[in-house]
Formats: sequence, C-alpha cells, structure tokens
Amino acid sequence: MIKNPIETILNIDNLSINYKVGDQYAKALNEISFSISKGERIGLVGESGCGKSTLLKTIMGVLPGNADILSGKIELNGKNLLEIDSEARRKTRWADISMITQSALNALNPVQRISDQICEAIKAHKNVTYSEAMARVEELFELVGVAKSRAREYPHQFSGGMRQRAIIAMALALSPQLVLADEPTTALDVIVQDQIFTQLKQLQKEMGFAMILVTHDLSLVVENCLKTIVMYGGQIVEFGPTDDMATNPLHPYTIGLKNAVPVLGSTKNPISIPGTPPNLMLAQKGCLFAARCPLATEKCRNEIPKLNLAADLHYARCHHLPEAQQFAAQADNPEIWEVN
Amino acid sequence: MGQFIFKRFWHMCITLFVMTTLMFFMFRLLPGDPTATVISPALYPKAQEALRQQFGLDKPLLEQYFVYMKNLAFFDFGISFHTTRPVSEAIQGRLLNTILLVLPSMIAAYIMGAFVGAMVAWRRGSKFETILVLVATALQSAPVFWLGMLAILYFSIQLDMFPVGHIVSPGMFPEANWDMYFSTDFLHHLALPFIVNALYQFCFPFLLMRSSMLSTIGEDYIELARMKGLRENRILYRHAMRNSLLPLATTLPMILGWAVAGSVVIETVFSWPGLGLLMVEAVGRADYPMVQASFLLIAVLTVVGTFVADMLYGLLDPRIVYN
Repeated sequence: MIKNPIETILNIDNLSINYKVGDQYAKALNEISFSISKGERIGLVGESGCGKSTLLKTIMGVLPGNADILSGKIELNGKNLLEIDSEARRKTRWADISMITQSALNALNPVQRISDQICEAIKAHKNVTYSEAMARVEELFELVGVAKSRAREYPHQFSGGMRQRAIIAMALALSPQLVLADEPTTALDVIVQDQIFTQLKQLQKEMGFAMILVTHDLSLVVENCLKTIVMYGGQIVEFGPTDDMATNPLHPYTIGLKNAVPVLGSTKNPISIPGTPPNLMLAQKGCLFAARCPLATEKCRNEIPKLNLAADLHYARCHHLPEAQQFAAQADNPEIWEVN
Repeated sequence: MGQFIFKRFWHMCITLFVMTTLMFFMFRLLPGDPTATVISPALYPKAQEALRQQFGLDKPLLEQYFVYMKNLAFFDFGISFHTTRPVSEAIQGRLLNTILLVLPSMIAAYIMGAFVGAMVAWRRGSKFETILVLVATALQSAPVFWLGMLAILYFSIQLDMFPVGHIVSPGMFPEANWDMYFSTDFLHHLALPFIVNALYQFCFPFLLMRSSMLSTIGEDYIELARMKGLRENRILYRHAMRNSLLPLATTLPMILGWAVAGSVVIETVFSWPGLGLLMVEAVGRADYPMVQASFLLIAVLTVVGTFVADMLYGLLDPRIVYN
C-alpha cells in the first residue's frame, strides 16, 4: 500500500492477530499495513490497549502462546518473517531488528552484570570471544554517553537515565537495521528525556537504522518523527506525514488526541475524550470509534470505514473526512465531545 | 560485611544461650524421675545416695544449671545416665548415621525438585504438571511415617526387596566398624529410608521452584532475553532458572537443620540408629544430658543454617548489601 520498493526495510501487509481469551477471541490487530524505509523514523501513537505493544511483539516474534496470527506478512528486506523457521527467526532478532524497551529497570536481569547481558546478545549472533564482545560493550557505552568503567555494574547501581542508555546500548549492539522504541523515555523526567532523544537521533544519523517510536506522547512524535501512525482498537485510523497531521488532523480520534495534550502557557484546558476504548471481543460492525465520536452517524455504526487517501500521502479511516476540518475547529469545546 | 557477621554471630550466641536455658528447665519439668531408670530402687539407700551425688542430682536445680552451663562452655556435655559414658561419644556415631541418611536424600530432593519444578513451569499447562502438583501436595501433606510404613509394607515385606529396618544386618556393630559404611549391606539398608525421605523432601523444593519460576517467566527480562535472540536453553538456564533458584538456595541450609530434627520420625520407622532415634530413646529414659546435648545440636544446626542462608543470599543476589 504505502510503500517505496527501493529502500523499504520492513513492510507489514494486512496483519491481523487474535488473542484467545477463554473460548473467546479478542481482535488485537486488525488489517495493519505500513512500511518503513532505511533511516526513517515513524511515530506510533494510541491509548493503552490499542495494539501498539502487540504489533511490536509480532515484529519481534515474541507473541504469547494465546496469540493467533490470522493473516498478513511481515517482510524484512523482502523476506517474510512469518514463514521462516524458528532458528532463522531467532537469528533475525536483535541482529536485524532490536528493541528499546519501555521499562529499563524490569527489562534488565537484576542479578547479572549489564556488560554480561549485552555480551550474551552479541555472542548469540556472532562468533566472537568474550573480550571482543566486551570491547564492543565498552564502545557502545561510550556511544550512549555512560562511562565505560561502569559497564560491569549491576542494574540497581544505575540511575533511571543510565539504565535507559544501557538499554539503548544493548539495542545498538549488533548495528540493526530497525530499532523499535517502546515508550523509551516514559519513566524519565523531561530533561533526561530530551537528552536521550537528541542522542538517539544523533546515533541514528551515524548508524543509519530506521526507528519506530511507540508512545502516547504526541509532542514527542511531532518533535522527532516525519511520519505518524495513529492506532485505535487494533486498527490504523490515520497515517501520514507528521507535519500535515499536526496542523490538519483528519480522524476525529486524532483531533481528540491533539486536544488532550496540555499546552504550556495556554489558558485552554486539555479536553479528554469521554468513553472507553472499544471491547475487542465483540464482532466489529461499524467504525470502532463511533461510540465516542461526535460526528458518528447511522452509517458509522453499521459500515466499517476503509483507510482512505485524504490528502497527499495522508490516510484516514473515517466516513466523514470532508467534515474533518470544520470539526477540528470546534473540537476545543468540551461540550461537543459529550456524545449520548 | 565484617560488622554484619560479627553482629549476627552475637545474635546466634544469644539465641543458643536462651535455647540451652529453656531446654535445661523444660526437661526437668517433664514428669518422670531420672533416678528411677538409672538408680534401681533395689539398691541400698546408701548406694542410691552415692549415685545421686555422682550425677549431681542431689544439688539444688539452680546449682545444677550453673554446673551444666560451665561444663558446656568447655564442650563437656556430661555423662549419659543410661550408659554412664560421655554423651559426646554416643552422639558422634549417631550423628554420622543421621547425616548419611539425611544429607544425600536432601541434596537429591533439592536437585530433583529444582529441575522438575523448573521444567514443569517452563512448559506450563501440561497434564504432567497437573498430576505432579497434585501428587506433591498430597505427599507433602501425608505424614512421613505413614509413607515410610507403606514403603516397608510393600517393598520390604511384600516384595522382599529391602530390609525392614536398621542400618546393617545383625552381627555388624555400627558404632565400632568403619568398614560398615563402605559395605553394600549398608547401602541396601540405606536405600528405602533414603527414597522415602527424598520423596518426602522433594515436594517442598519442587512446589517452591515451580511457583518461583512461574513468576520469573512473566518478568520483562525474560521477554527481552527472547527478543535478543538467545537460544531457548540459555534463556531457561541463565535467566529463568538462575533467578528462580534464589529463594530455593536460601531455604536449603535452614531446611537442613529441620531435616535433622525431622529425622526422628523416619529413623524411628526404619529403626535407623541415628540422632533422631537416640533422642527418642533418651527422652523415654529421662536421660537429661543426652536429651539436652542432642536438642542443642539441632538448635545449633538450625541457627547456623539460617546464618548461612543469609550469607548465601548476599552471594547470589548482588542487590543485597550487608551493613
């Protein structure tokens, strides 16, 4: 769909995943398609439970046992990762696609030295000696701005920011082509957050990896990513260039998200979107956002919208795209969101 | 660290002192007259009096206590009322017998428990797991003497595979003969109580390891290890099992003290001439020095075991710092 065949690294096509819960199914991912090119940064936003983490786990190939891949392809350099055998799959992990995890404290084994945890990732993929791997660890520590003399310490001896840097060092250990960053700075204060992002961007420029930044912080995406994907209820509801989406959001959900962000110095209060995310156990009848959407009509409740091209490279899954601009202008009025 | 050890050492001394005092008076509060078993009423009153003096039983209780404590400070545990030989002599041989039974079965139980518990948790939801958890819970709740008696009934009496009890066949003298411990006859006698004890002791580490593993497997660092592309075996051994072993490793030294105390039951069932059986006999005869010494030994084992467990935790978990 949205694809540049020349330098595409990862192409996800029509990916759908169910979770088995008891004898019922929850539709965690629903026809996800997008692709990412070399050196690109894509932001992925959505509330908790919208399928962001499931999507990352699927790309990494660490879905839990109750997950069922119904359809789709995940192509890395043209090779479908869902079709290769488990040993080949293991080899692509970390070497080609690595991940910066959300909670750096829990993601590090508390009783092993950080250097050992990075070394084992290197040694799982490369036939190197311990001292060679250790040299690489020291190199990485310098790269992310932590004194290399501290590499042999345990996670609890590190501050939150240092742990996150150690995780980034780990993610870059094998010079992957794609780094998935799952809310990499959520647990950190804004100053450290900014330092880490500046560094990540610098590293990306030097090493040339592509990055998917998952967050629910819209401002981070606006600052750091050229393209943005907005997910809702396991679907992509809007996809496009970040600039365009920031000034001219098309999907009512994106408009709502934008309004929910507090602006420093503004007298306007942020407005939350009333209601709760959809129950994914139920069969989808219409637009998933219809129950919370001020624009929803009978058509929205009964007909599933498609991801439509609305502007240049800008897609949205909505029946009321022509009304978006008008709605966005009124969206800072909290009363308009009081549906039902 | 040094300060911590010193402080803990003091606590141990205080604990043991309180234990010794309590035990001294507790056994004297028990009904039964030690003189009745040792000093025959048929003796001349003068001879009876002389014996009482010899054991110091004519002195006031408090004075007896001070004498006992003074002797204890020099590792003199007194003379058995029953055999009129030094208590330490009797205990040495018996303790060895107990250790030969308890230690190998405990170690076997812990190794098996850790491994089986880990495997079962790793492949969560198998039928094997359900059955094993059920059996382990049942075994753990069943009294070990009942298990022992069933084993004797079936394997010794019905199948005639193992001797019914004792440590060697009649004719060999356990206390005197070192060769005994290297004979197949000894191993033959050891087998059944070993199996029963190992089976009984298996349940606790198994259930503990399983639940410890289950909570470890849900940790983020296990998922990260998988994302790092490590091989499944490495994730299992280096991350999941290594970390789940922490609570297990630290219970082992503590359990060892309890296991020696618990050997009372298994030794009685199998007539195993160990410390446990000695204690039962000594309590029956109101043999104060013997009873006090053997109980003190168990107290020491438990207290030292707890101390070792604390030290071990610091060694295995870098997050624990002593100060």
